[in-house]
Amino acid sequence: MAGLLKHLLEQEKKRNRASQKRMEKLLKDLPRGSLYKRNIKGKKYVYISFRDPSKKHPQSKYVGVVHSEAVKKLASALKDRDRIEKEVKSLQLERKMVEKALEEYRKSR
Amino acid sequence: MKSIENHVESVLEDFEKIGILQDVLFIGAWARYFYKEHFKSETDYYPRLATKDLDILLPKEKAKQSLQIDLHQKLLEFGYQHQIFRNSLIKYYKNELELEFLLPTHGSKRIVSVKALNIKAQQLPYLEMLWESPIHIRYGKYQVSIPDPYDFVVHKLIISSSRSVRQTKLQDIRDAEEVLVVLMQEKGFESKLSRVCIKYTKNKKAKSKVLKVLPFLLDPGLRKLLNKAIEEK
Repeated sequence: MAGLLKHLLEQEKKRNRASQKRMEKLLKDLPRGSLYKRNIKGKKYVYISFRDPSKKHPQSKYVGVVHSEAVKKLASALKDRDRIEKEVKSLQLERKMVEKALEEYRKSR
Repeated sequence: MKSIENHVESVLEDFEKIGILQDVLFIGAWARYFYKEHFKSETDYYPRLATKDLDILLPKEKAKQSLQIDLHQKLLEFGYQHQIFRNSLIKYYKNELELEFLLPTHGSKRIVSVKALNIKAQQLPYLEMLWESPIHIRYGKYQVSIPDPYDFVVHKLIISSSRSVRQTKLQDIRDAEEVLVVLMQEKGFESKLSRVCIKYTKNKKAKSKVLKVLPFLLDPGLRKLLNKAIEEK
């Protein structure tokens, strides 16, 4: 049974690494930042706030009028980023657990 | 120390001796595992491995045929332990593996007697699609039948929408996505995916089930592709 467990853990580690790699690739194509609204002369406009590593302060950029296609598209992409980042965190946690279990297995041998 | 693969190989050996290996389809976690043999050239496919569940799909007609092989008796003779559940389902156990027999149905989930094999099987909806175009892979000395990976993916998406446990639902979707990522590298991927989606989502219920889970796919490109394939027809 112990051999089985080791084998499963090693498989899981490989799977985890491949999944993380895939998630990182997906993240590269997705925008960063958060959307906020500004009320200008009674009309609502959407802006994106993001960090540019080359600049000291957070940057802001106009996206479009509320409910416009551009805003919807960007909001959806940001939601995707958020979901994938959560998945990466969960994969990192899983990886730690697997590594810990493998270490315990090695100690017990 | 024998690995889990050795245990599975031993089940395959038993099935071949009994004479049913060519009649059954391996589905679920082990189908995912067997795809490793099918996707040989793709090195990035590392399926999640279930330790013990071996889901075996029987052809629908077996339920109505008269006795051909007393599989229950044969399995006991080959050293399998069995457990009868309250709902009358019988599962078989050997070397930490748990064997469960399944049958397709258009109705609802229930346990039925498979007269042709003298066993009990669980009937589940949407399993029939897995029998549509099975593929055969070589695993050790044995030829194993598993569902076509495209059918497997669409089936996973359909059934995931009915999962009550969120974690299981997400896991089903991740499993489908992992297979899709490998399939994407194949020539003619988009047209085959589109064909399969159209075929299985003709039924409004199945279509709404798939559409319901698409937002859970992590890869936006895959989501867009599947959405297009389903809505295009």
